[in-house]
Amino acid sequence: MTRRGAIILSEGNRGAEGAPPLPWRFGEQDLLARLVAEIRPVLAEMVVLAPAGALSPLYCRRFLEGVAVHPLPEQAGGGAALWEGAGHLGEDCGSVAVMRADLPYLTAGFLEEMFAALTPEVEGVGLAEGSRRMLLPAVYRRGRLSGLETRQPPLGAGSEWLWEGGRMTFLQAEPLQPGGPTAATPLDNAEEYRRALAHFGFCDSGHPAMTLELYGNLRIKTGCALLPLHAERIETAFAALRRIFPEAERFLPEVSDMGEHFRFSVNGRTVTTDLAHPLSEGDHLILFSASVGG
Amino acid sequence: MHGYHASYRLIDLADGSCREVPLEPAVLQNYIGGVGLGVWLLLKESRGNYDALAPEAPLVFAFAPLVGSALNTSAKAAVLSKSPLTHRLNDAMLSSGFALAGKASGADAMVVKGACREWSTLFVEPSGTTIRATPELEGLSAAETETRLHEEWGEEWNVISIGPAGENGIPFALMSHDGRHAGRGGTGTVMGAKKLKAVAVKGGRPTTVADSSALAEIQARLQKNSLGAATEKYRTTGTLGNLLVFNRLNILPTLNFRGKRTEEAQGLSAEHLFREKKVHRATCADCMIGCEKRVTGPDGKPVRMEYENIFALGSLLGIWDADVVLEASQLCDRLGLDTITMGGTLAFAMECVERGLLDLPDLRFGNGAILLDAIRKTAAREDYGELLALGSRALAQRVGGGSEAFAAQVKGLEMPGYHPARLQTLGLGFAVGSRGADHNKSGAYDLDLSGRVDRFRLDEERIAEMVEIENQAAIIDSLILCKFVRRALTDFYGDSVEMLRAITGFDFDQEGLRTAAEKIHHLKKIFNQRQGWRMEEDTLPARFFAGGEGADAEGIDPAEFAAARKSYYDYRGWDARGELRSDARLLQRLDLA
Repeated sequence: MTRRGAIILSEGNRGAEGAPPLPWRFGEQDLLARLVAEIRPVLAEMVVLAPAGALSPLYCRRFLEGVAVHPLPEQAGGGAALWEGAGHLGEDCGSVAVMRADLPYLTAGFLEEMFAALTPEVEGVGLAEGSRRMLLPAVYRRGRLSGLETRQPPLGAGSEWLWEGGRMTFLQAEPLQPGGPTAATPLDNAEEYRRALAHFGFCDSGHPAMTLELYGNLRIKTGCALLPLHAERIETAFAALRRIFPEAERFLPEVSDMGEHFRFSVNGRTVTTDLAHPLSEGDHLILFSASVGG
Repeated sequence: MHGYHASYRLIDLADGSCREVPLEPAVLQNYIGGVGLGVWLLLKESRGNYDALAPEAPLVFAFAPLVGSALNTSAKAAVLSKSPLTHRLNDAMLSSGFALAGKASGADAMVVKGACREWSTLFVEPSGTTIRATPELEGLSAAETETRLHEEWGEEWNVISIGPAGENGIPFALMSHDGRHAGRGGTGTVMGAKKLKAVAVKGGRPTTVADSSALAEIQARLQKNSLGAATEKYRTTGTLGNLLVFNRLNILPTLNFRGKRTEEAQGLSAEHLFREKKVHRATCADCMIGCEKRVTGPDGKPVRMEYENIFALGSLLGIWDADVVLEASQLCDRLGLDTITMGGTLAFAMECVERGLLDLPDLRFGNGAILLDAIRKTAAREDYGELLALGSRALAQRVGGGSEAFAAQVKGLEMPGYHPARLQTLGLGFAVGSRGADHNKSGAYDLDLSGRVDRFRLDEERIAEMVEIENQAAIIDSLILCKFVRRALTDFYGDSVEMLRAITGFDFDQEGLRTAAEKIHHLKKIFNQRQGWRMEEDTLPARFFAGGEGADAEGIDPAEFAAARKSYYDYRGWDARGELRSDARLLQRLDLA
């Protein structure tokens, strides 16, 4: 069994409407819980460093049993999260992963492939906050930066960082599939996310850029408050929702029945049940239950 | 007779007598049970314009044919009286075991009159009634009262009781059973005026069913639909799920109905509570929906929370701390206070303070630290609590200075968590409601959010549908079924007739049910007219009309409102002033002759 391992959860940006930072989704569970479950058995001790309030006590009780959770000191932006957190862990720390605490934009499918690609190759997952996050499935190979004595890790597109045995190493991402894009695809904002979704066929880039707002059980179960999409009408937006969150099928009726059990509001004023209602650039589509009794 | 006992108990607390009074089949067919039967009994057992708290004021507990049948979500009873808060009809609903036991105690209703000499408990069972002096229960909360009565008399008794607020005559005190309430309009105050601390009922004489196999088929269908998409929201987040989306749609009332959508709403939302707190689902007896959510409070104890609590004690007061709202809600439950009226009155008082009309500097929006103190003092009538105990309408009359314009109430009943200027059909529903501002009796929020009407306008074309929704609400409250299951009914009148026929064997039909709804509304009107109702009461405070001081930019157009209200009266068969001329022929038609 190797030594101590740690996951550092960096702050990230909060979503609009006060959507709280949530751990990354990863199929049926979030990435943090999945990583803990996979890595914990091979470590002598596991530590999670998280900003105050990023992980609720209930979440820790359910998914981080046997893991010491410590507050992460207030941090500067960028890759300092890794450095600050790693400094607290000491040189005997085996492997460290750094994750963004929020990310309403990532999709389960991408992360699934990424994780599968990563685990056989490395002791831990390293994704530094502030660097470009990897969207594409990729295999990480070890590399070394010589002369790394500085306090700040260098940042660069397409590279990820791993803290290993008191030394920083970087991982050069290579595409998993031959012929695929070689550059890392950034996901730092809604527009980039929409572009990625369109690239992978989740929505049609020719359609207006809009945002789907989720509330209630859908938001709780998907962990997503705002979903930036391309869609030219309401029905298209829902079809994309189902593809991006296949687990949401359980909480959604058939598309043809949506109008009976849900209501749609475009930009918060009008209400409709018409799935063919057109959407325009910049629209916010609010999806809520038709049961509004109180 | 199937489904009914064909009688009600008339109980006099003064002399301890209990008489079984027969109920004619025609009355049962005309009014079904629950609210329908209850308002008929209230009219029959009262005279003219009377004092809501006088000993002779009737307090009615009405059961219904579906209660105690195999049909789920039917464990409810109607509680009716004249409200000490509004001085108009008060018809509340109460859930769970008390309704089942009450129905099985051997009568279709209980009418309680008179008053005890000291704090007492009324025991009701198939063999009869007993009144026992229970002064030792004075000062206890409803939950404590239930526990003590169970310890002394056994758990087979289902108890409804009042807390200190009801004992102190606060006009918006409630009565509670197993943590559920007949919450609004001062039901607990009426009990308190009778020095009736509790009513304990025991079953043992259930009614029979006319066609068990037909009922079993209906039950299987209802059960299947009750677990589908039609009730998904109530089963998962419950009504707590309303808050964040109402905020997004600008329906959530904040800061005494003045504020707009705010990021702070997140702190009280279901989305936040489910993440940060332990939330357990709970059900009423015989219910498979489980809309109740019990949220663990700061003291580690579960608190039943629903949308109206987090609105009235949270957003309406500009308080966004979930722990504060949980504690306040718990305190209201313990003292026996209606949270909507408590919150509405506090919000009104806070605005009065802001405007310099009241000198209570700590009573300001967003000041959660004062909330518990204010609630305690209200229940005890201490200090400024004596003012808050008036309710917002009476407090506005005391304060003056034009404050009636922003006391958010109708007929004295404070508004629930739906902004009437942004859901204008519901706004009209509040105005014309016999009970006051009651979203449950109206149900017009469904129409406003249906996509079929403009929620920021009022037109006459929508009135027919508004009346239909009100009628269905009255039928549901008379059958009795939980309103949260209504979307599980594929054909409202068809399904209702099927249920009634299977249980009672009566030849109910759809037209008969529609007529019953019409008659029930006539009865409510007659009762209110007897208590002095005038058309001028069927309105909303000036704040909600366009052009009023502090009014919304999206306020209600007064001309549209007047026209829509007149159209409502037409549909109801009332004259242009909303009055129903109750001549001899009508009274006979309504079985009141």
